Amino acid sequence: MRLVCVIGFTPDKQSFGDNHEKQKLIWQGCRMKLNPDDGYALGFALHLKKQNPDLFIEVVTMAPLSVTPLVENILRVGVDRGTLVSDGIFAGSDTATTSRILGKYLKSIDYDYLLAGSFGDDSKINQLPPQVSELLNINYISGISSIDEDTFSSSKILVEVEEEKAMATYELSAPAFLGLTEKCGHKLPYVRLKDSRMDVGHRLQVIDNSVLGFEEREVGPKGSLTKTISVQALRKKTAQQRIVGTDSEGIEYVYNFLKEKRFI
Amino acid sequence: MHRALVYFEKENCQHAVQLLEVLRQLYGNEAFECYALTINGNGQVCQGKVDYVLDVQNQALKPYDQRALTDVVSTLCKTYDFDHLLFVASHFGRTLAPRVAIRLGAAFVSEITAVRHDADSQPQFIAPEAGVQNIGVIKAKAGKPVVLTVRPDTFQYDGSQEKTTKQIKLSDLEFKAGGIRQISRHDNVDNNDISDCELLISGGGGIAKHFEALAPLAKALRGKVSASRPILDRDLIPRSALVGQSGKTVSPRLYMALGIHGAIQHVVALERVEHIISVNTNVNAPICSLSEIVVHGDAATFVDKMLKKIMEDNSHATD
Ligand SMILES: Cc1cc2nc3c(=O)[nH]c(=O)nc-3n(C[C@H](O)[C@H](O)[C@H](O)COP(=O)(O)OP(=O)(O)OC[C@H]3O[C@@H](n4cnc5c(N)ncnc54)[C@H](O)[C@@H]3O)c2cc1C
Ligand SMILES: Nc1ncnc2c1ncn2[C@@H]1O[C@H](COP(=O)(O)O)[C@@H](O)[C@H]1O
Repeated sequence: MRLVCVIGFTPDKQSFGDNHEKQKLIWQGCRMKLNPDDGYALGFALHLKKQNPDLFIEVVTMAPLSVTPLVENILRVGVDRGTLVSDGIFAGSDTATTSRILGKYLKSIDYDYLLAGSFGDDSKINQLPPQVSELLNINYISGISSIDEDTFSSSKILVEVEEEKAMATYELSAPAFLGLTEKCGHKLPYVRLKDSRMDVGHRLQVIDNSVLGFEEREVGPKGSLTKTISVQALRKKTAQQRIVGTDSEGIEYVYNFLKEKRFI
Repeated sequence: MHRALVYFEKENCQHAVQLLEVLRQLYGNEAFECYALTINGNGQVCQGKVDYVLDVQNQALKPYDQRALTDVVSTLCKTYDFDHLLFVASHFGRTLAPRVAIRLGAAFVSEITAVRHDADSQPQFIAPEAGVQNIGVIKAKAGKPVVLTVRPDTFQYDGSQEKTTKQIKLSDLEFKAGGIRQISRHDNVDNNDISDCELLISGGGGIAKHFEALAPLAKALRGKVSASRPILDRDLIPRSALVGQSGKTVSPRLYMALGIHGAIQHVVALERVEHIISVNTNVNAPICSLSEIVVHGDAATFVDKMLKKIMEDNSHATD
């Protein structure tokens, strides 16, 4: 059985500040972190592997080479292979283009299930699993809160899904893409101290465009159908504003406001 | 003439109606035709609001079979040559829309919060970007269709123009179903629907350690408790009580933000709130600039004192 976790990294920054050169966000030089929900997907895969050591887990991500140390740490907690899809000409791709690049690599490998977090920290990352699934012509289910582990080794699995207004159970045939939520309940473990220097280089591969063979006009900003023209700070509403403290005067003020507006 | 398709998912028809406001903002005074797509539903809610209802009836077409639905939507798109396809960013809509976009090779913009036009009258879409306070202005390159998703309750449709709605029945569309089967489904009894209440007591990272203190205050004010992402991450609330981009859009009369910083992913969900009161140790937190009253100080202290004050006055009132 082979599982592939498709993971994403987001800038580990609350704000890009004024870094709006060329009116687009500059990721280069930003510290990156693993998208938290993808961490749960990885945690779940590693949990399955504990019970079933034959399970092969690969992580795949498209990112600048600067995330290499982060991928190495993922290999140090028990993932079998790390694939970094990276090439200068991929930079600036929109999500659909990122999906096409990753999709081309995924088409070339074997897998039973693809896994990812289903509520990424970034609504753009959330589009990736359905888009990749479309390219691979497989089913995708998001919002999976638990997976019947007994069914995992068969060709059909049972998953429980949290929808807006209902809980539902689905039977899904392999191959398929599974979008997991934090409810699956397994965090990505930390690297143990004794493993922190483990050499994992031989399990890490970089796939660049010499392997995938896109033309330059197909990827990056040129290959993308959407364009972020600018990133702007949120407009500030200049509401009539009153600043008070938590002393009795402040409490009184809020209290009277609540009364006036008939909340009390 | 412009032509747009709005997908009326059976369980989200009320939210789909709101997307008609997006069309109004997109096309302004230019003539356009609006098509509503309903699958195994009745087009009742669209009556008088759209030009055509594409009424697809086929029980083999399941709401969770996104591949089959993608077949249907893309076929219709090719037949009718739409300029825009609009989906509610619901559980299923969030999967269906990007699939359709890929299938059609169409530009896709997700979770838009507003539409603008540039100097050449080309539409620009506003959507949250990474970072605390950033919104992105996004443009689709030439070509059609453009696929859009919109979160529930982001736009409000006032239903002013009455239209004559024609029904188009479709029963012989081709699609390939399979690989997925629903075994069971039970409705969630959500006693905590934060999307329609008058007052929300909302907590964030700044009150995480005393989060339990919010419920009594909410009770005393007959409101409900909601929260920002760090509270969900600590498992202190169910996802249904999360306010923000990955949670719900809310429109209470009063939103009390306790220890909430005001990241864009949070405040996009507050566009239609009437009054905001924030309590924060940092008066420069972005939420404060949106607030009518800023209480500068510790949120837990505020909650304690506020509750005491309300209780005292209640007991005086009943003396
Ligand atoms: C794509 C995407 C989607 C996201 N979706 C959501 C979403 O749906 N909802 C959401 O909420 N977030 C979402 N986030 C996360 C969001 O960016 C912020 O990280 C989050 O909203 C921060 O929550 P917070 O303000 O409660 O916490 P913090 O950022 O930790 O802020 C805490 C605030 O409390 C103040 N404070 C500290 N101590 C006290 C005290 N004792 N008393 C009073 N005030 C105090 C601080 O000054 C600060 O302003 C999303 C992020 C991304 C990238
Ligand atoms: N050198 C690179 N190789 C592969 N992907 C990259 C590279 N640089 C950026 N990306 C990805 O391209 C997308 C947009 O990047 P950008 O707009 O350049 O910041 C994101 O998904 C990045 O992770």
